[in-house]
Amino acid sequence: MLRYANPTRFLQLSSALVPWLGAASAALFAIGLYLGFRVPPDYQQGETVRVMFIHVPAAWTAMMGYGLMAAASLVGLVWRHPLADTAARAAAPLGALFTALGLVTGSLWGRPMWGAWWVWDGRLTSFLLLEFLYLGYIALWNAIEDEARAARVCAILALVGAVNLPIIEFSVDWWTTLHQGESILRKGGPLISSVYLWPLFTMALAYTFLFFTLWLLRIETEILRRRARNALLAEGP
Amino acid sequence: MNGGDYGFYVWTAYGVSFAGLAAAIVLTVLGRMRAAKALEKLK
Repeated sequence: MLRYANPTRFLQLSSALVPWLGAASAALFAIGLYLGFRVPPDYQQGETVRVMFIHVPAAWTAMMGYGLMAAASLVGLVWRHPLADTAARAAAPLGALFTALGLVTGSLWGRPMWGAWWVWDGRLTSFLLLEFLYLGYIALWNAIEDEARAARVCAILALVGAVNLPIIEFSVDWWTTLHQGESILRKGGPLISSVYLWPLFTMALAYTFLFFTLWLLRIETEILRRRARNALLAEGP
Repeated sequence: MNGGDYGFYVWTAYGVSFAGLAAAIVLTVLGRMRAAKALEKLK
């Protein structure tokens, strides 16, 4: 693993992986959308059940993104490896986007089903907090000029914010929420019919692969920018 | 599917998701290409 912490080796591996990950994501999106629009309407939710195929994957990917950002931050903080800091920083805007998509699609699903665009229940509020954590992390990076210091401060924020992940996950068990309880990844198996699970898991994989494709590309971009900056500095005034 | 009474919510959710993901893909790829070009120029 540490072998690939070298930027040059990382670029080689990433360049080889990105086309495959991107192609796999595109294929999974095509299959997931096809399956998602072929399933019959739900007997209670009607056609709105189809929002699940984009809302749940966006929410899962947003949480996975934060987990990865926190893990990279920990590595950066403990081993002081610049590539780990770069990886953490590169994940933040993507995580913020997926969180925003989870919030917007959730609201568009909630309005016809609950009669409200938004409620301040445990799940929704903790998920909104995730968005603020991402945005705060990005703002903090941009506010501190010294990169090494910015990386350290942001890593601490990312690690403290990671406490929010189990809160999001278990909020529906801990508090009475309008948001439905855990119905997919639960002990005793999913409560959802397999008819809906196939398109859901296919779309979840598509979102995950897309996240990794974009994440690797963003890390590559940052490595190249640093090299350009160093080349400029080497040239001198 | 036309979505019946709820078509607006379903199609808007898919539209917003498509727009967000497409924008992320375009911006990321353009950023990567620009960074590579800038480095190439310096070399």
